[in-house]
Amino acid sequence: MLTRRTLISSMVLAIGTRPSLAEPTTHHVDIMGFQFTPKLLTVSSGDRVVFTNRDVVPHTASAVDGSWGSVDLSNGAQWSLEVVRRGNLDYYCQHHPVMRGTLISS
Amino acid sequence: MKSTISKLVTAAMLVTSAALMAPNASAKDATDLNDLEIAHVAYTAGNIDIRYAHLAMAKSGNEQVLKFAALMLQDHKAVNDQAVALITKLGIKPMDNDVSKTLVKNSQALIAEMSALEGNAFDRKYAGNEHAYHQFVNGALEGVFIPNAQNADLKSLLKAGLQVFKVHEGHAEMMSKAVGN
Repeated sequence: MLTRRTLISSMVLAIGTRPSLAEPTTHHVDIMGFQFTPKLLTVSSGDRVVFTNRDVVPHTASAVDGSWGSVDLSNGAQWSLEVVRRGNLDYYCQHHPVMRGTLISS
Repeated sequence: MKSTISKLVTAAMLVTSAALMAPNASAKDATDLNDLEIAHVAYTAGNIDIRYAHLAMAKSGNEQVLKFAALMLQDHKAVNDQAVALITKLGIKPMDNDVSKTLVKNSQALIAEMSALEGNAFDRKYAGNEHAYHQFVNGALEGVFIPNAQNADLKSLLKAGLQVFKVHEGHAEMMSKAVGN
């Protein structure tokens, strides 16, 4: 039997989901050779992006505008981002600012 | 094109041999090292840059220099941690050698020199040395150690290190210009 709290939670989740009927997709970005690969990635709001560091040194994936960012990712570590905004989401590595990438969110 | 690359490699080897050669004429130079010795030199070179970074953290008040030094502490530790993991996996013990000894000896003299400097004079010396040191290490890795390493895992780690240190070299060059070199 559904409790009142469960019902409210379900409603909140329903309201919070994106209008599209498509299921959210999980994308992968490899951090390798001091590059985000792919450098440009087209995603939809609600999708998840998993960043995996394959370099020997720590990196981050951090929004240029500071709105989101990973912790330090050591070799082999992963971090995932749920895309909640639309537009070009530019990001970089805080330790190695020459490393840049963009999520193109529609 | 081929001759240009060949000239560059030759130049890197000459620079490396000249710079790394021990004062003792009978000592082996960088081109004669085996894998265990190459591993020791690579680890030692990383530790030396960590020591320079600790000095910069203690002495500099320049934000850019401090940020770079913190990056050196982080990245060189990460590379050396990978080296320790590889050494443990292979069950080997890196061999000290004249090249490592010369690197340490030279670094001790430089640390003494830099320790006596203050303010912008220190920043310029540290930044200039970081640029030159990374150029030198990258030349040695690319021209001598990576081609000469026999073990595939060691060669792979040296290549990964080179990728890291090339980024450092570019970063150091910008820092060096920014502090007035």
